[in-house]
Amino acid sequence: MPIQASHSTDGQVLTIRVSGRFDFGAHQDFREAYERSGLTPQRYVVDLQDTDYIDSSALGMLLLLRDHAGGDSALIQIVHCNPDVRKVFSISNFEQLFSIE
Amino acid sequence: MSDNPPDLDSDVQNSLSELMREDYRLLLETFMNDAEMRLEHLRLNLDEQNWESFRQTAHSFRGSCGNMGAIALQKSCHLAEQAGTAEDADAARSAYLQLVVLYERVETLLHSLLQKI
Amino acid sequence: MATVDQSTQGASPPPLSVLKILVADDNPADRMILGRLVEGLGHEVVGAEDGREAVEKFTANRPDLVLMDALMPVMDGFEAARLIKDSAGEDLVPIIFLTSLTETDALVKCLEAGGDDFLTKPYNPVILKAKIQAFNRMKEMHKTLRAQRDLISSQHQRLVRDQELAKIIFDRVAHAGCLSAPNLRYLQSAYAMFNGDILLAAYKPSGGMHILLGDFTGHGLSAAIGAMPLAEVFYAMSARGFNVRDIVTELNGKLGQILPIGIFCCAVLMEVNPSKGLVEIWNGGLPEVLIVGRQAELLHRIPSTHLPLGVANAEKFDPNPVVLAMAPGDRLMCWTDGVIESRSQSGEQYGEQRVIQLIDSYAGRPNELFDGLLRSIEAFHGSPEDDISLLEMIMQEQAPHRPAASSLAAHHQSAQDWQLGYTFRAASVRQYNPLPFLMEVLMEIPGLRVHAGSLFTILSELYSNALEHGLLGLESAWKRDSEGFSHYYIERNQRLSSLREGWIRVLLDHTPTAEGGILRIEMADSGAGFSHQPMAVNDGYAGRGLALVTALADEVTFNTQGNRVGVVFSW
Repeated sequence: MPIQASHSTDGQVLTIRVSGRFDFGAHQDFREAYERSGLTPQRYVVDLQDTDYIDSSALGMLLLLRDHAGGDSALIQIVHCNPDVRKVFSISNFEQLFSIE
Repeated sequence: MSDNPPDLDSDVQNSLSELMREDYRLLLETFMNDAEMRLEHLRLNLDEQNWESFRQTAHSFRGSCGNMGAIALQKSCHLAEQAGTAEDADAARSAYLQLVVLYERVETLLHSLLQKI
Repeated sequence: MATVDQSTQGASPPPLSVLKILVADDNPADRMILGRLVEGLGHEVVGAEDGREAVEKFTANRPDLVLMDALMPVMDGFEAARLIKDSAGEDLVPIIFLTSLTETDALVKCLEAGGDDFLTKPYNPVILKAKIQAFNRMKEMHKTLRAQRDLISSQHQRLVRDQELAKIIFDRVAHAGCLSAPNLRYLQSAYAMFNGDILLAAYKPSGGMHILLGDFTGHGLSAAIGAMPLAEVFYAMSARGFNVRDIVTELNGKLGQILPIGIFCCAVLMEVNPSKGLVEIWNGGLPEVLIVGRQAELLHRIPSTHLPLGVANAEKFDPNPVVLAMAPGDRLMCWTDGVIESRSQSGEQYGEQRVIQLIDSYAGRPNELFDGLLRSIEAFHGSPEDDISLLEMIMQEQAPHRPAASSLAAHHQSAQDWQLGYTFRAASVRQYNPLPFLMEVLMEIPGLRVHAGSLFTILSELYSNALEHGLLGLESAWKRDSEGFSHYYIERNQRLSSLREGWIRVLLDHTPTAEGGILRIEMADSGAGFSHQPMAVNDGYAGRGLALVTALADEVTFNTQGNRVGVVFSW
């Protein structure tokens, strides 16, 4: 479950890339990806380019990230979703909480 | 007869003496008592043509001969064992006679060892 | 019990502990030598002269390791080894055969008898020491494994027992309702509860039912536990006459309050109203709910349009359901994501498209649809899916009927002679549903309790007339076809949320009689009245409400303006 986190050079954007299955197995790594860095980015990008599948626990993890990033004022973009992943976001109406591209 | 194995391997006896210490004498006596009993058994089995018992006795005797370093006896025991398995009366008698002769020589050697203790 | 951590010492051998070793050999000289070798390694020796003695000494002394001659009088080593292994039970007792055997088949015989290794005569002290150490390590490892296995197995048993208990409690809470109703069919796989699935159904006091299908995030006990408050709120509110909006708002608030962030519940909540031929569906995060007709033709797909329960805060939360007409014999089907996410061996998802195609293939055979879908998923998945919940509801024909009066005449009480009036103004109309409160007042009269369903229907029809036509000015004519229907309810929600003035007044008047009592209900509103509209009873979907009230009550009267209605209900 490789999860990679990288900061933009100015430290304003934290990008988290998830490869493979994004499910409960990613819980620890995903959390560490945004908690470990000492920096406080202005916004977050979750890149799902290489994510094949997400389940409802992944949705839960995204809600945790949203809470960590300030709840309603959080700036989180979820990008590069494949159609299956997109469908899961759409069923759960997460467009209301995240910017999904 | 230079190819023949030694009657008693002195290295084995040395290490046994070291291992057993004060019980070394007891070990030698035990072995000799047991050996005489086994030879007596073999003679009876031969007379009764009880080949299974003959084979087993020879086998057991072979084990202790090996442990005592009585190499020649050990080899003859093996021949006796094979004769018992084959139920070959002639071979068995010949092996038995060989054992008696060999044991007399070993017994002499053991007695001399006992006197050195 | 031995401690568990010796095995972790890895490469460096543990300090050699003192073992008790049984030495069984009929040859006294050999026994002496081997005994002394073993003692020299620091172990304790138990000697035996034949097989039978070996077995006896084993039973009496329980040695850690057995060194045994194969050929012995009385009982040979093979037989003794068998008996010793039997008597050792689960304990690992290595048996090393002492032998001058060289024949392969004799060695095989040793192994078959339970021997673990051989030691050939004459004895080599170095090999003897190595073997004793190796078997001792093996024995320690075995002990460790067994202790761990016992620990795991006892914890597993406890977990299974906990789960069984949890399941009993869960079933009592969750299945308190009417899942066994004849028009419902459902399947919940055995582990559905621990997959976080929940299915609830309750008859509403006014007839019809509420159904909730939910799927909590995650697995295990944490997923199951949120189902408890969910079920409690659902049953309590349904029984008290609350509607879908009220229930779903309360559920969202309650779950939001108790569930940690990241845990939520995807759910469909429905209200089925056979007497009006209506169904209200709120879908937050579950796959599309499907409605098929009497020929299994697909009529409606109701996708999720809301966030799951427990995610949105009160301001963001939208409790408005989709309202659709359903004719008797129409079927509603819904499921958790286990159905569409069921995977084939090659990892492909079953998907919604397959469901739609399957429905097509059952044209004319709606009765077989439920089983057909299950079979199709099983064939696709390769084995029965263990993570699905599936529900089918068939719309029933239901003539409004008045429950038979209780045969036991209720006690007459002077406290039953009263009149009460309430006026609900715009702010409270906008936010609260006053019907459960009014019902509670009426239920204070014991004799009225058996009529709860009828009274609730009367009150709710009168109230929604007053609200929708009087205050919100909606046209019943819109409800003539099913498209107008959706429009009607969308409009209703918009107008209600922006309602700033107006009122609804309810007057309840009860007089006891010799047999029972007379209840007069008057519902008036601040609207213009319907006198300018043609009164159409039984006109499509629109007039059914008043038709119902007329059927249930003894008398229904209107004022000329048409903004006040009086109902007499005697019992």
